[in-house]
Amino acid sequence: MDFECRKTENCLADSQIYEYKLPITVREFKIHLNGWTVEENHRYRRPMMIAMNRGLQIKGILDRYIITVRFPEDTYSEAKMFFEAWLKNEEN
Amino acid sequence: MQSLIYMNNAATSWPKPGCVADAVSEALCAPPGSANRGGIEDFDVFEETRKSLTQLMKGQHYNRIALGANSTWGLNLAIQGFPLKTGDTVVTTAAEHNSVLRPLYKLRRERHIKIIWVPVDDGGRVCPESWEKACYTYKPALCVLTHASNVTGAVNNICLLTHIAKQVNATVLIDASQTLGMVPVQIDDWNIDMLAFTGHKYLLGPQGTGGLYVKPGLHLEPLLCGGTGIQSDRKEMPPEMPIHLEAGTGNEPAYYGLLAALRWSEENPADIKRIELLTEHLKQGLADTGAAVIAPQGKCTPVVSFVIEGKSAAEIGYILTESYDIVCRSGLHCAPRIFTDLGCDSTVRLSLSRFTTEEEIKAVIQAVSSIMR
Ligand SMILES: Cc1ncc(COP(=O)(O)O)c(C=O)c1O
Repeated sequence: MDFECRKTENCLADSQIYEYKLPITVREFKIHLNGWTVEENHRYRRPMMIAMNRGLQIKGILDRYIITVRFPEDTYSEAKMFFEAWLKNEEN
Repeated sequence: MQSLIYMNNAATSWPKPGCVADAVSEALCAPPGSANRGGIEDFDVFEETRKSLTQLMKGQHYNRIALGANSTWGLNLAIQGFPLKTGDTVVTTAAEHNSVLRPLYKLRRERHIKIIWVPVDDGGRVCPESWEKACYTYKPALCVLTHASNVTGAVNNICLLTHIAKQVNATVLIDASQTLGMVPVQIDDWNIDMLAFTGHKYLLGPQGTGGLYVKPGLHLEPLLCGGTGIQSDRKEMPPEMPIHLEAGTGNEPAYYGLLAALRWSEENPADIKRIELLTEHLKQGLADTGAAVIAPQGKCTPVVSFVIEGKSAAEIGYILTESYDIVCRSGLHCAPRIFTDLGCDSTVRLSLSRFTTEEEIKAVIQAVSSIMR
């Protein structure tokens, strides 16, 4: 799938956090997360999900098109490249 | 749809009084002031702003206020323009913002100055005994400290801490970014040498405004050299203040906005008691949900930092912003050294303004309690 990516502004110590705008909602994107630990929370005003896999964390509001991805600080450029290659290969 | 709840006023205040945007817009539409002769009958927005700020700071010498882009500009001007030599010591605190820390690190690299960090208590306040000990032990040339922590809101006793620093003949620079407009500042009575301020926080002005007060008799080297519109045949910056420190064309439209905000605040003084009460409600309400709230004793700005066990500050901030439209800040708040003394590695920060309502406080507490469940 196609995506747009932007580094997010933040004030955290490990700050390798990027936003990705997807062509599908986070709810639809969730189906692609095979092998990830996915936690959904429907108690919040806008339900959201957090997914974890090998040090990567993805957060997103289920009805929106944007995910926030946090890469591990030490291997971030590799992890980012790998993640983006995977995302590109996924069918919408 | 519920509207946005803006709790990030310690970063930049919002909303601004309506007259601020009007003043900026009118200034952009009118011929610029610099088109005038600068004569006695011409309105000089920078001079009027200096006068208004001097009144607010309870000072007397309005021409000692250099106006620039923000307090980062003012702090850099003060720290790098002050005549620190190799081997000189600067005493500062663990609560400082990167706009103090980074210029100091730079001078440590370039001029080999020594930096002494005075710790703060677990509420983020500078303890006068530790300050006194550092001043008497190290006899600093310069002391730099924030009027209030931007992480916890704890207000420091500047009158006392300046008095202590003066006992060892140190020059004192105060960072009033978090206080001017919210907490009284008295540059003359407190014997302050330099004070940096920013226009876009509690002064309610636009971003891109702020500067530095420099006491009469104190000389700083300008950070930037350039055009001043006067004495153009000189090879150096003119010695007169404030032009000595103000090279280049100023941000006139933004200063029209700041001046409008200052005048509006003079006519509509903030109800500090009400803001303090709301801040207390927020701290109590968050604590009741089970969140660990940093609650310094004594005078505080309307800033509330908290953490929740088992959840990162980043995650809480994300939920509040994305799921509840509550604008807040999470992380280190550009003050990385304070966290050792606070005993945590980051916080979520909510910061109120005079426009914050009781309903908004209730909604924030409710949102945090949903995260706790
Ligand atoms: C204590 C403190 N000092 C300095 C600054 C820098 O302010 P500005 O970005 O307006 O230069 C801030 C802003 O967050 C602050 O909180």
